Amino acid sequence: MIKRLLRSVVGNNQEERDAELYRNFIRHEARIGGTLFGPVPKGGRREFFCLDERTWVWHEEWIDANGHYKTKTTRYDVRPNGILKAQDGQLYQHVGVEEARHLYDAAKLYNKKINTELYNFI
Amino acid sequence: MYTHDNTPERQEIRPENGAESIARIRKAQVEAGVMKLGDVLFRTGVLIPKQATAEAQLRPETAQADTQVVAEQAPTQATNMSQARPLQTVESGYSQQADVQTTQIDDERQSRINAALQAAEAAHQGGVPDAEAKEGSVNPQLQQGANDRRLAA
Repeated sequence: MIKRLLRSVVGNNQEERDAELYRNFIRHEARIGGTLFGPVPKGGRREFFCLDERTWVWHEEWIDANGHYKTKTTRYDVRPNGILKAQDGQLYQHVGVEEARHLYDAAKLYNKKINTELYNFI
Repeated sequence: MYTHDNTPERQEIRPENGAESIARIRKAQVEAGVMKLGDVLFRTGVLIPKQATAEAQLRPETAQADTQVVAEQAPTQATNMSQARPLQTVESGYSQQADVQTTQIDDERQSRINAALQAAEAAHQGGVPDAEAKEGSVNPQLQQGANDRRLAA
């Protein structure tokens, strides 16, 4: 896996290559994160990843009952006094208890899986 | 450790080409993210230290079973954590408590965040790679297409 990620890096200089490699790592993490919540319906795609130390992102794509392609991105922002979320550019709203717990469970499992499946070479 | 290994495969992950150091940075970033999340939930009362609750000592197996049931029952188009939760859980130093306190976000900061988020979403719609709403960070979804194909190749 790591070899495939490295081969995909084509930046012109070291800085560009490092940035691209960093993005590749996150992309692969997002795929791993998307597997944490069970099967994705046919034609859909799910990603879940840690964007940075204070931000977690859930992205879902699916085909609705009318055959229309749909997408929704939820961004969770970890603030000192609570968790906020924004969906598809709308205003931030507070995250409830149950959702916060789910997020925490997902984050722990995400960390465990990326260390096992992606960063096991370090 | 890898610097004396000159096989082609090992050369690719030598520290000097940055891969290992970047992976370490990323790994540390995620671990810090989980820790910050736990700290905030602890501070706001969503989680409490596990040793403080007798209930927590009885929970691990049943908690996982409950989680699996809920995940299986989640809507197929679940789009955030309020609709679905992970299939498994991992142990931590915290338990859960039914109370949360949140505070109002500063209006100015909210405006800036929303503007950045909208810009990122707009870039995403247009297929522009590497548009990012947050300084110093990268959103993989915004440049998924071409890179996905390259990764899959």
